Amino acid sequence: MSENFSAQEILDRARMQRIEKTVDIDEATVQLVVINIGTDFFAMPGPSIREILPPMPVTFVPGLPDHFLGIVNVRGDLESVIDLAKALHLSHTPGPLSRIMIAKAGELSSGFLVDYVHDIIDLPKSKITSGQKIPAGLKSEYITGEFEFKSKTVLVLDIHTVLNDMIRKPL
Amino acid sequence: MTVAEKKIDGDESFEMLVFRLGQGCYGIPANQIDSIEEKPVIERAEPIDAILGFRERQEFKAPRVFITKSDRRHIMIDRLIGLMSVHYRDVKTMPLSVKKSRACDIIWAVASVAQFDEPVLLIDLQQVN
Repeated sequence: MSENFSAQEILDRARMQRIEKTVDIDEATVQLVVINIGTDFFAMPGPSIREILPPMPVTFVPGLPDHFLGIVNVRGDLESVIDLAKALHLSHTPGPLSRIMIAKAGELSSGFLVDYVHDIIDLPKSKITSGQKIPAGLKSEYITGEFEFKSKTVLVLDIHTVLNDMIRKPL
Repeated sequence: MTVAEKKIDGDESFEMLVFRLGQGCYGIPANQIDSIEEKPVIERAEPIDAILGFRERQEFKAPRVFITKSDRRHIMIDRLIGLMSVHYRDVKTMPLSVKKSRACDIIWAVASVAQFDEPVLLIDLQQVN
């Protein structure tokens, strides 16, 4: 049975629907850099990423833990480079699309080798849920949450915990 | 650069002994070295790769032995390039992430040397136990 609405009621309903569809511009967002390691998707907080560099020669430094590839010279400043896949116990194949992301966490900073940088996005905080789909072997302390991006689950990395853990890891 | 030129620009520099090991180049400040043996005395020399913490032993293709000034230890190095002068302004200390990750500070900095494309990792022999 169809309902009968007055013209005013129809206009009110249409207005309400428009309001419901409108994005809440006051909702807090977080900037994230979406990256790829092998087949896994991760995101790093945008404010902690200082620079994204193309592949460049890395100078090997003996005596460093395995996940350290060495150091690079970034316009006169030395930065260490950590193979993020090795650090997270994931498999990957670095290629021409690999990038070195210089991340800062407190007084520490380091480059992270990643396979691919997908995008830099502004995501409403409400879209990030607690991490449920953490791959086997990956420490749950490294993940602060997850969200959907292009039908893929993206895990948000706690770069501060990852970096501090990598540096303290014994040889 | 001549000594006179160094005085003119007021810049400090030092000499270092540069050699190759594995894929990299390494430098030891010349003032930490007493002498270099003309004929390698391999049997009583410590290989530098073990001192630096290489996990895999390196092949010594052109071994030389130098004697340290402080405790007269014999240390074996590979493929000697020679003495090079480096300005302090071209020496960059290791990032904090590297300093905190290493068991010791034997490699303390990286030097860029004019007319030499590769970075030189600087070794401080005083940090060697």
